[in-house]
Amino acid sequence: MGNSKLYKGSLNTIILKLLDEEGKMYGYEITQKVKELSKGELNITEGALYPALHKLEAEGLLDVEVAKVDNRLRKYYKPTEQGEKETINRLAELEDFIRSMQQLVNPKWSIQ
Amino acid sequence: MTLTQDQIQELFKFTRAHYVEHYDLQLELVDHLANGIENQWQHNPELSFEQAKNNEFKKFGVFGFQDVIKQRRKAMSKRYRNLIWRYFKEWWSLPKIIATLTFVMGIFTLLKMLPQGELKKGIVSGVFIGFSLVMLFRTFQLKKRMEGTWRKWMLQEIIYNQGLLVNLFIIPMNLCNLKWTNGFMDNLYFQLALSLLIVSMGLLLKICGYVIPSKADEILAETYPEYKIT
Repeated sequence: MGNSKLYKGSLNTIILKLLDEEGKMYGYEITQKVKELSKGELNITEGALYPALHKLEAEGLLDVEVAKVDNRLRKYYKPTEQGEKETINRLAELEDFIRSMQQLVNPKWSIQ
Repeated sequence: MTLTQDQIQELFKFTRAHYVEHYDLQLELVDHLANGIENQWQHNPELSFEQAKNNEFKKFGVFGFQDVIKQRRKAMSKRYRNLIWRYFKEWWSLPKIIATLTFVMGIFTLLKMLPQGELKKGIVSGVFIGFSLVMLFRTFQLKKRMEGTWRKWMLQEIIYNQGLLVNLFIIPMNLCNLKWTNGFMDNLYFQLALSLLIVSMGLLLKICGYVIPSKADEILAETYPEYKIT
């Protein structure tokens, strides 16, 4: 199931949701957190994570902050005000999608 | 176990060797690789730096950093277009509106006065050639300025490299040379539209060639929090 195409369309929503919960995170931390939450089921590849983060940043949904950690600089992402609103919208869309998919693959037949 | 300063520098060299030219992206990828290496060392302290680095790099896939670079450029180009739009909107303050409209009316009057024929066509084409030449000269000037900087920022490169806009100025120039547009040259509405186009192009040249590059430092500090730190 690891890197299923099914997850791809939801990557931005997953990132926004995580950042909304955690406040701010850096790239590597996001990959690890997703792995931990999905118990290793979902593995966000580096080649997909950074383009998604940069796109969300360019859209004004994420803001960046830089801090010196150990002997290097670290870039943190955090949702902007617009990003917080967008997270709510995208999560609602995702929930609708999941509901529709459940009805499609597992319809509840009833005789009335 | 954390990476030493030398190993961090080694990672910077490694990203440069894999075609990551811009510091803003290098910084992020170096931290990512460093985190991955440190994580591997937690589970396997005997692993060499080289081996751990290569293991982390493999996770980026067969194209390495190429996809990240490509998408980053796309995102930055979008940011640049937003900047043009922002400064375009800012342009429309009261004294500038009057000046711009005066220019439009001035050009319109001139187009009306000029006799129909090759001279008019030549002048209009000349204006667009002039715009292209100014843009090329400005790009050359700005590129020279960038050569002196030892750290490249992607947005800075996009701001300073405006050569592509020349193509935009060539389109209306070609339109003026088309046979079907010649018939419209005496039409008042066409002349008004042409005046608006010339002024809009001039405005675009001013914003992209002069206004935005003059504010490059401010824009870069706003875009990259690390710009002032480093």
